[in-house]
Amino acid sequence: MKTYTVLIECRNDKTGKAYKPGDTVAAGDFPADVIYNWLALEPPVLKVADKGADNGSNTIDG
Amino acid sequence: MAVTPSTGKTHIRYCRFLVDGANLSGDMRTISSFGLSSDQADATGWSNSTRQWLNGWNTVLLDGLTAVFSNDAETTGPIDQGSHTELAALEDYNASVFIGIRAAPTIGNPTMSAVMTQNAYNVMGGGSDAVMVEASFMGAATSELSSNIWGVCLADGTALSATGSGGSVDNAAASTGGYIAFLHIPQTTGAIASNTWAFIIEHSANDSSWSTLASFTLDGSAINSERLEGSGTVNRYVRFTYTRTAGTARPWVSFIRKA
Repeated sequence: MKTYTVLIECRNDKTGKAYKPGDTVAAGDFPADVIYNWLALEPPVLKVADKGADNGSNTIDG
Repeated sequence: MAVTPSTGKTHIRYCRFLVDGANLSGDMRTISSFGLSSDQADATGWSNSTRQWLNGWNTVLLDGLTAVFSNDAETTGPIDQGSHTELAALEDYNASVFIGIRAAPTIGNPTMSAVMTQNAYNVMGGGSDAVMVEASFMGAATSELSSNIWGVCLADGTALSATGSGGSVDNAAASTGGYIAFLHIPQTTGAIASNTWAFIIEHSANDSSWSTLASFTLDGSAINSERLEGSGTVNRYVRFTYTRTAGTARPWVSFIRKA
């Protein structure tokens, strides 16, 4: 599931959850159209979370 | 949830006037005109059958204010300072008129707000009348004044005692020209200095998922006002959200979507 980093404080009245900058939200924490809106807003409310460090190849010599 | 504001005709008695956080509504009598006017240039030529006009610069104005004279000082509360106490100095003000529709102003009702320079203040009286004050204001030169002065009320002076959000106001669609927001903090019951709040404006595309649009720095601990301005998209719904640390507050908020 895609995750997003919060850039601007936001909240979901339906779940009662609030998120501060730096928090991570999952795709299901807000409706898809809201996430789309927040990625496009200037300044954006969310950004796509980093995928993490590349650990290199896992080839096995055979 | 979005409010359903009253619409239609109203009476001046349902307006409220705040300057720099001071609620002068208890002394107010009239404002003969408030809004925008434009310089006009006559562009009529010989072959035109009727006169033609071009609009020039706009003027923000608030003219013909009269109020009952009062020199009530700022006190511990809840008495607001009087008209003379607040208006005697010729200076700039954050001025807002909240227009209630056949009742005191509520969230969603129209507002007019601007930074204004007071250019006249006089005291008068005669006969059996109460001593009165009169004043006039025009758009201030201290900042790049916007012609966007008409907005909506997001907070109507209701006393707050807990964290929460006001009702949301539905604009029917998002806007892209940015915003201007005015916050007025008037006197509260008890010692205002012990009040501590955080005030923000939030916006939403669906009236349930909210993000912060603007954050005021005023914390409710003194009579004051604040103007914020921002650019870009404002989503369809806006509301005023307040977080209590201590005390009470009676904020008034005017929110303007810039064209």
